[in-house]
Amino acid sequence: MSDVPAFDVQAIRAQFPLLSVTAHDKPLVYLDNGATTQKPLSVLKALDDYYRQLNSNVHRGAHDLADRATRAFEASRRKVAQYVGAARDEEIVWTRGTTESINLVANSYGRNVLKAGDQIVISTLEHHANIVPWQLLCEATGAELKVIPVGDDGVLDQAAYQALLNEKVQIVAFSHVSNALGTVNPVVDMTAKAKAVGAVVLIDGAQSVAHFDVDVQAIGCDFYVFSAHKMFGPTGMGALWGRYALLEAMPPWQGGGEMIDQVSFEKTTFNVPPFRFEAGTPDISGVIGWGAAVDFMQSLDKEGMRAHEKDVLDYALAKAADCEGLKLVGESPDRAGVMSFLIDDSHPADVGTLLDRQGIAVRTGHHCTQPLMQRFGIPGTVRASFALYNTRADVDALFVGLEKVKTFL
Amino acid sequence: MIALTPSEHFLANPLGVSPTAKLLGQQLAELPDWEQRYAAVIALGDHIPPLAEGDKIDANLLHGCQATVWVVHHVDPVTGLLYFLCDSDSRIVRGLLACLLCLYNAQKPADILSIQAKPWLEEVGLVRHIASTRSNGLWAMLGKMKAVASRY
Repeated sequence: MSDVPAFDVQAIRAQFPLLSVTAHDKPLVYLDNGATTQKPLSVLKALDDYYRQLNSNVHRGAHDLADRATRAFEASRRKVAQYVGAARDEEIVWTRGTTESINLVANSYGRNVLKAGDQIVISTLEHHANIVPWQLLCEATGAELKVIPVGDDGVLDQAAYQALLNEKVQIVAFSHVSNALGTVNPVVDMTAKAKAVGAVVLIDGAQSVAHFDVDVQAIGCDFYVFSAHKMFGPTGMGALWGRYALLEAMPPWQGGGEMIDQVSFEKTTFNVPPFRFEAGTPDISGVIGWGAAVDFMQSLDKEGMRAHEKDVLDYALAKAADCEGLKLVGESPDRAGVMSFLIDDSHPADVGTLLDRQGIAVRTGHHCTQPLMQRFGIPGTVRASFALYNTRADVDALFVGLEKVKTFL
Repeated sequence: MIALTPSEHFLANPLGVSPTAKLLGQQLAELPDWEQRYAAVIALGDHIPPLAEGDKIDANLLHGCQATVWVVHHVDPVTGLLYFLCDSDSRIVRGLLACLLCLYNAQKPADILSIQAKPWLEEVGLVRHIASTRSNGLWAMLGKMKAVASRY
């Protein structure tokens, strides 16, 4: 589009006030975007404007302010729906985040459909949020959990995945992008394989939505779950996208206000999706802030953004190859946003602590993927995770910092 | 549980005798910046005598820190003094533990119970200068040493 200005990382950085703070009296180098992203001015303004001008409970009020709040709230639903390619706005259910979205599907769809002897397939790459709800579901229903193995390069074994699939598999759940290693999974192909045996497919998109456009129609999955705070929106806000026919067939999970149709002590009937799954007053400001974050993303030169992110990540990987004692963990050729590594036999937490003292924020530890760390036989990794506002200068700072770390350990 | 690490290793542990907690405090306080303070703490960790491999077992694990920490103890039957040895896969944590050993190693159990670590750690600047998440190991180790001392 001609009215979209070319991607200019310095102009983008100027919109993120937090990137100008210091840490330990050093300019902050923020490389922990896999944990959460910073927020642009437009999102901060939307949150502030909401409480100054719009605060009112949605879908309940019989007054002008409530109507306007409800319109803004539902306008955000439309933005988020369009962002992932939903067929209709009502396919977006607000949740507290990716974790709650997965728990919703496990507890509502899962408990309704699964029976003893059925199988759920997940992958070794998964975050605990995409493991534990399925384990709980297996315990409750007698279903069995099967796990797709991962190779030494951090890439899922597709032949082993194919071999796991059979008519007993009811649910297949995997991440779009691995939070620990950055591996981008071939979601279209993996979804098609699962659909071929009649399984329902849930994709954890927490780590993908900040990096590239998601189109749930093109992927062909049934559920797609993601969080606002990992794509420049507020914390505590997430969504479940589900095919409407599936959502319609699903029983409620949490009971309360807004999710009902009629309540009597004899019998309660339930509202239609998405409201059936949105009990209680939602995080209205969070929804509206997320809408602003989607607007921010949609205003960008996406091609330029992707080229910039690829340039920064490739630059980091090239520097890693030249960094003595650095060993990458995960070497998928197709990756997004993440470089996970170890320095010689140093404990990752020590590396992280010494980087932190230099103002460089990374994540260390198991990244809520303990089974994956066990697979690699390591206690954890150092993870530098990048967002669209990171630059080659950030990468340079990281590697200067690592040279200093090596003098200590 | 009886430690497999030979008692000579416990008795040979210099920490608490050289340096004493007081001397270590003075040394750390004089260091001009975080880099030298960290380097000193890490170097101190290298003075802890090694644990027997057989003592690196789950029963000796210290819970509550990101790094793996093993702690064992030994009571000298002649003097009644309580000795500690520990190890960690994190050099920073091992250094921090060495600092605590300067305060509590080779002491009478009653003294271990009465000596307060927090004022000393604050005075020495360890709490302030070491990332707060890394001090978890310190508090867990402190609790462990007090618990052991209370049994004697």
